[in-house]
Amino acid sequence: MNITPARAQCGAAFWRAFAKELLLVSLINAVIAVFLAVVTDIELRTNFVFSQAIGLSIFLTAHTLAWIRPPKEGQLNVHFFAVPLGSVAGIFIGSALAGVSLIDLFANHPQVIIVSFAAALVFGTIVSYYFYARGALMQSQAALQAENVKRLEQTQRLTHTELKLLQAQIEPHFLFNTLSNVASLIETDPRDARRMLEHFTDYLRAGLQRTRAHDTTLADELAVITAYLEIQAMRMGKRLRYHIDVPDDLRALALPPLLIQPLVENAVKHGLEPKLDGGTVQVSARRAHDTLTIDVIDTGLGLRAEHPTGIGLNNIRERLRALYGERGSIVILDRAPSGVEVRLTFPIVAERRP
Amino acid sequence: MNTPRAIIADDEAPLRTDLQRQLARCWPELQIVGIAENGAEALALIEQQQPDFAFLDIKMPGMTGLEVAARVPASCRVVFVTAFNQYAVQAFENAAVDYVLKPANEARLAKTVARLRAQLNTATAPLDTRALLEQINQALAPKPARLQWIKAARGEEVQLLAVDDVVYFQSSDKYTSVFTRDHEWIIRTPLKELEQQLDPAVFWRIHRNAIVRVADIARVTRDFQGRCLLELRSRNETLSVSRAYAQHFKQM
Repeated sequence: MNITPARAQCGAAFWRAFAKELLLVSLINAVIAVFLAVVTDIELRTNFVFSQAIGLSIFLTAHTLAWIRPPKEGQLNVHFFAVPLGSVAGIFIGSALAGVSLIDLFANHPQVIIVSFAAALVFGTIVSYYFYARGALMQSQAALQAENVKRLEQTQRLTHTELKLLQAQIEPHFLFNTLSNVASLIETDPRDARRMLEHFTDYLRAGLQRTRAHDTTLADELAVITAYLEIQAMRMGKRLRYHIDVPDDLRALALPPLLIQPLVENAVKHGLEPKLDGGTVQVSARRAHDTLTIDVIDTGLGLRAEHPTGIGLNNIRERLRALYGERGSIVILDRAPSGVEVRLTFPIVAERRP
Repeated sequence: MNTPRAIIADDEAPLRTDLQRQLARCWPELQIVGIAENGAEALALIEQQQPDFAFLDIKMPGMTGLEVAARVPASCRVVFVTAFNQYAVQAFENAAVDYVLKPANEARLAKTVARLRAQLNTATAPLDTRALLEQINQALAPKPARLQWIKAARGEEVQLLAVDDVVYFQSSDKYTSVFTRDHEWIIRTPLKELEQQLDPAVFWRIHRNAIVRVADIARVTRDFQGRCLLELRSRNETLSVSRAYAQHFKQM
């Protein structure tokens, strides 16, 4: 039977389903009675009384058991107990209703009782299995539908985060700050102004290219990061130092765009820029089997209770989850004596050769 | 009349020199008596030089321009220097504070200079700088958004924890415990404060000492006293719902 925990369903719906099943069970019982009347020499009336008594007893026993101890999804154990218990109870009830004395019957024709019990077990098991399979099918269909809905939602979320990503790509503050610096440098130090503009062009070019391609390589991402850090280093002078430590054989790896860059920007903006004597930002990558780990470490102010995170971290977290599920993760650690370490871990999907 | 004197504070060298040069063009009499690279230096310079004007960059390491302005004596007029930020500009307009945009635009700088000059000649009543600063600070402060990450500790480790990973919060005597699927973390924020920053559609207060993620509730049962008990999907503990919050589970 399609036994779901009664408590999980709300009243009206539960009783409607219950009534429907009851009707179906009675019908099946009637069919069994007719069948037995044809194949045995017991009259139809007695057969009808017995099969209804046994069938309904099994049905009610199963529901009572399920009510006492709700089964986990797809468990058969309720029927395992309900069929024999219901069969015995049904034989007693049936004999009482049909006016047959069980003691007489047991004394004179014990084989009749054995055959009835056997028939009850056989038909009870078949019908119970039918209901069980029906319930399991309904459940798996529901699960399938839920899975579909989940997948759709995930796709939608991914599109949404990607859209936000595009919007967040070039931060207006950075754009204006860089242009301010270039404008100021043009008179005092035209050569530096030119250098800064060149880095900025690299930054924009790599950024634009990335929006067209769905996946970029680690090398592409590092090019944008280097351009960004060069510009910031010109602004902040000796207050900003940086290292990029990525083995050459990893640079061709494909990876989703803008996973690392926002972390580097956070490290500079929230960690180093507000710190009086600045510090270092370090980007490193390593591979273990088919998993890539990327670390962005700064020696800045460290995590604060009200840490400014912007939309960047959430966006990265959501994309990693949507793309890799449990296998993608972002961990943000406070570092002693000061600074933040952000560690990205995700599976290597494909290698792209230039 | 004495020659007007000013200091400039900005952490970016090119912008410092640029403003200095532009000011020299627009206001040749103005004497730049000092240049600072951060807030603390600016404050020391102001105390030492007693200038008439202080051009302060807002975003400086250590101490922001706003923080410096709060400590500047009334004899010194503050002019904020800011990069593009529509909120900042709006805030300054509202507070009637002098400001210069970065990079300094000659025409616009000339306007500001004209105004400053006028103020120099009239004995202006000292502005209520504290009220103005409060206004600006408020406008510039990031809006209190929904909490998305929490700084939490577990043993020696301190992490930024995603609120999306939290199953429930439970307060103890001195701190608040944060339970994720696999671990227990400690934070200092009291539940009352947390409750205001969490999405009420996602997290429910169920007890004076507990807030739970609704989506993680697997089953609601009642004990022999009729109290609601919550079984969770990702953790084995059972949480009890106090009567004051039981109305969430009435219809179930």
